[in-house]
Amino acid sequence: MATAIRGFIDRYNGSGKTGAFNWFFQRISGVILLVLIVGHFYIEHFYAPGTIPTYNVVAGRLASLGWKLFDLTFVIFALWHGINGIFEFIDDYVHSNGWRLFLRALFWFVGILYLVLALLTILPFSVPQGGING
Amino acid sequence: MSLAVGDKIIFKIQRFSSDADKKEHYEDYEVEYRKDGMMILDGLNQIRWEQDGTLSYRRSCREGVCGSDGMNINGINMVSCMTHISDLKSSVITIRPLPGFPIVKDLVCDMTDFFNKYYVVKPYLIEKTPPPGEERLQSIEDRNKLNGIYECILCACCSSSCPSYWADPDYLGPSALINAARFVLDSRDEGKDERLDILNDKHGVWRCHTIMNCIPACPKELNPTKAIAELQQTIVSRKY
Ligand code: SF4
Ligand code: SF4
Ligand code: FES
Repeated sequence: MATAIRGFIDRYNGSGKTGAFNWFFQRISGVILLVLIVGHFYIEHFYAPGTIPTYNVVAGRLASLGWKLFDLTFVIFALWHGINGIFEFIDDYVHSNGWRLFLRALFWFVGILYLVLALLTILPFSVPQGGING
Repeated sequence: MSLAVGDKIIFKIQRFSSDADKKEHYEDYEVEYRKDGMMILDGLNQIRWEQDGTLSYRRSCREGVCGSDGMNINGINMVSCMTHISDLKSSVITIRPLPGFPIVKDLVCDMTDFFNKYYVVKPYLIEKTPPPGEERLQSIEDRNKLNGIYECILCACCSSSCPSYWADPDYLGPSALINAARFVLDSRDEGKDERLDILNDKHGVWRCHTIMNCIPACPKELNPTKAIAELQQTIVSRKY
């Protein structure tokens, strides 16, 4: 009996990764995303009433460094929050080591892919406002 | 629906025997409402003693102390000896064993894993220094910090209602965690660090997703979610 319980305790010791950071930062990134989303919503709809967010308007905005940083922060936090959430699901529901490894690798790949796509989309904008016929 | 003495109610009980049956099935029993204040456990006893001696369920104290009769009644986990039949306000009462545990027979589950997880958190006072006098005294304020956690009767209603507990077979669960908090928050305990090292794990406090199913499930009206949050706080403040 004693050894059986001993082995049971060992399951909770020495895994090295406690999951504490993932748990904690999931909450923090959630709050940050909420602030960013409300800010984004306000700027799109109420900040400059009358401007319709056409391609031109958005391209003009994205040409500025500030907006690039704003959108990239948004993307990075959203990706981290979403993919860390999926990792949590995997820890909840997937119990075979092989599947766990595969799914984790898959979502690392998806995360990096989306980050690259986001960089490719956001960074190249350098067109001054009104410079594109949309 | 209000019940009067002499009324009949149906107990729809899930039956299963791990050596004889492949699948669970329900059986209906007619229970007579014999006195006001009759509990679900009184109804089960009526069935077992007067109609069908093969019906299995655990009970001992019949007053909400031993924690042996956790079961799922009309979809909610509760202990049968603390549940008034009249409070359920239904003429058909569906009773199943606690969800998430292997069934041994009828309403009796195999609780080995549940209790192993309880032992994992070292649910006893750990002493490192000899007691200052004859006994270890505690101030009234420090003692009051244990209210709302020390009353746990280990009925498993909370863990059995927790989606994280169903999903992850290694998750310690709300019951083991509230019992860990009972010692971590005890001013006399000197084993906090070794205990927190065990709880600070993917399958420990960090597996709780704050779904809060465990709170309404507890027949003693305890709050495991709050206890888990306090453990998380203690772990974080210990580190930073
Ligand atoms: S609050 Fe935590 S322990 Fe309670 S049911 Fe939800 S996940 Fe389980
Ligand atoms: S916390 Fe409540 S529901 Fe959970 S085991 Fe203890 S008494 Fe039962
Ligand atoms: S019989 Fe002891 S708690 Fe119900």
